Amino acid sequence: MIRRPGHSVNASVRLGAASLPAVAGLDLDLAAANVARWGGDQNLYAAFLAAGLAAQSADAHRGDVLSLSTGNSVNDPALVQDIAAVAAWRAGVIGLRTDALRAVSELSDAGLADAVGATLGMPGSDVAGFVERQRTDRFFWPAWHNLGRAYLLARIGGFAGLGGPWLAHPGDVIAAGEGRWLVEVGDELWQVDADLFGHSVSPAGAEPESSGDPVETAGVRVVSVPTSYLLEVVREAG
Amino acid sequence: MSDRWQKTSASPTVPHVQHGGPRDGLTAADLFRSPDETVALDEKLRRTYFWLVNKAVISPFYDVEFDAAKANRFPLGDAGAEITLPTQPAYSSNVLLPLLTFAVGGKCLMIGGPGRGKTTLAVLMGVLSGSTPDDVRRHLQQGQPQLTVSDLVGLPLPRDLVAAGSLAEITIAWKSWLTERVKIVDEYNRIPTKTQSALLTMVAEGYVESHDQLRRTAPSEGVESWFFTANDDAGGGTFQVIQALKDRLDVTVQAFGFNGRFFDELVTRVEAGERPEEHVPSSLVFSPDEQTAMLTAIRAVPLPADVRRKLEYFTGQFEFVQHGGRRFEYRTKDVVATAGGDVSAVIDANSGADLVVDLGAQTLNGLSVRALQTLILYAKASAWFRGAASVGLDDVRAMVPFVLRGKLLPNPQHPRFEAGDKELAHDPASWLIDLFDTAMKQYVALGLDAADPVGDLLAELGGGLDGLDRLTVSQRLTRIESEVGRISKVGKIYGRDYDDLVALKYLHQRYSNYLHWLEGA
Repeated sequence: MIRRPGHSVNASVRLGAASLPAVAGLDLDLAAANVARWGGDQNLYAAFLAAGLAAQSADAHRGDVLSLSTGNSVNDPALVQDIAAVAAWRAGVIGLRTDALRAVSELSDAGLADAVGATLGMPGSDVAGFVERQRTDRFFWPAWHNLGRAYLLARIGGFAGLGGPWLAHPGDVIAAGEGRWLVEVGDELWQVDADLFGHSVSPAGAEPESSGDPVETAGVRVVSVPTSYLLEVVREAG
Repeated sequence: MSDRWQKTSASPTVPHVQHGGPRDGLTAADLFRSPDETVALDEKLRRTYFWLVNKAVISPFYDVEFDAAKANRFPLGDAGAEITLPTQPAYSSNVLLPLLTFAVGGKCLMIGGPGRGKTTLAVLMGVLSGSTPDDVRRHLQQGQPQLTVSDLVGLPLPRDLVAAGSLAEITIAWKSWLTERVKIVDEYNRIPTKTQSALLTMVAEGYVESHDQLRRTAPSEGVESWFFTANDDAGGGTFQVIQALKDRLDVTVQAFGFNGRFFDELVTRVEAGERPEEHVPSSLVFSPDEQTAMLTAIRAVPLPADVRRKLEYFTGQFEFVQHGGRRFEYRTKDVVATAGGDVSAVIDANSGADLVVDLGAQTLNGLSVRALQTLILYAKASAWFRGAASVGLDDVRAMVPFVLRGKLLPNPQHPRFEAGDKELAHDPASWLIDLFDTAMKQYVALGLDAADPVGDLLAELGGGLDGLDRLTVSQRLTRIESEVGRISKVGKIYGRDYDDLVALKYLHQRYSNYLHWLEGA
């Protein structure tokens, strides 16, 4: 079996046929294309966005939606845009992480915790705790809390012939900041950025980006496996 | 009917640079923006390249390669030919070089027989700068034996010629092409010598003069680039091109013929009566501000120290000739040439050095500062175009044959152009690549990657003289003399030693002058 890159948080996701509603002023198909362009999974995006928008509609029918600063209509494009950003982050677009966490907080404060929960794939009651823990632990997921054993978070990279970035086996891995590692691949240096939902892999360049002193991501290790071109991101036991 | 010309390459055009998209900085609003709205300038230039090469000029000649060591090679025929299949993206020089010239604001000479797309490509560059195809054609200067300076720059108004009491009162009706951002001179080797001189003033100094009136030719905004075409690069044509004008041309690129396997596209164009310059997608047109930003970004691409050192080694090979003069500093090809001597004969008279090892013996001249600056700028442009964070040795190597063609002149008497390598005598691009590759092999063989004593001494001086005591200065002087002594003991001197020895003498002067000052203080 050929292993592919991916994140364990998606292992239990069952995708059904998702249909996206039309939202005036927003091109959801364009957003889906951008999700794919930025390394996300279009099917996951469509599924989580559809779930989020359905839950938002239910919230609205119950009448417990508070006003957002940008408007108070359930069809408000700004509101749908924020839910879409959360769905895109959930689908693997790591570049949206900062803005998605902002959107999760604002939507929750506006009484849309159930919609945000549906968009992230968790109960609405877990959202507040999730966003709080995510600020200090980018690999936190409620279902894995206190699991008491080591577990795989993600597989990253891969052989170029199978669609991955590398022509050589990844070698030594060096921590280069929160959620960031430098990897020796042949005679090149690559930078890996990852969180719970997605990752980005790029050549490190002449002067690799570093967030100050090399800081290790607490409790998380990136491991080069002798039999694979994929790196494994692992949560250590304890 | 949809316009088949409007399709451009999907982004990203550079593979394997980024897996998984940007690592940070995206916002919810970005999710709903079209990639065309957010495309970076280097990506836009790459998409322009692919549109030109795939849609506009049909040039399936991928001769600019960036991974020579890893490419698959297949021998062909019995004359030493081989075709290489690179693993990295390769590019077509006759499209890439004009496009990089457009990006850096350079001057490009396109050579080749009639009907090879030279003028079409130049006109396309004009359209990429925002002009209409009609305007570009109207502003194109067609070289011909009767072309006068007035034809080129404009005429004095006849009314003023009669009524004016002095030259200052004559109004010149300047030609409008003079301030275009893209300037095209077709068949420049058919222009009379006097008119070539006026052209030289424009190219070199950025102004024209007529009847004591002066006009700046640089555009008011954006970046100026020049495109010349010629069907001969060996002194032919109706008029010999003046050397000063040739020297001002940054790159020379050969236009290729038509590949018969692409006849279907040709048939389609004939049937539709279409010309590519009339169908340039608007998304590929560069505004003046974009051109300025592009040039700024290219200039900012760093040239790493290790690449710079190898470039120094390569370019340092060519100025020195052992019997060029009596004093060491005067032993240069330029001294011989300016005195009317035969550089080939002087090179041949050097029985002390191995002509095969001495790369400098393959050329009749050294490199001008202008050529070196051009090489640096185009190497930066190559790196930027390819999406690299800094200039690689591959970028320098790729630009060498186009920047140095016509500037580094081959010595036809050298053994390199005899026997099995005769084709190098009329294939300057391959010869220059061969010269560069040989220099890099020598660099590795000499172990210069590991030790660079002259570079270390220069770096020490770069730290400044302030605060150095006599003992330190004396120690450094001793090290300099020791290094000169080491080279002196070898017995044979090459171009690479000439640059090192001149630099060592410079260092010796700086330190000894400082020591005299210390002792006198």
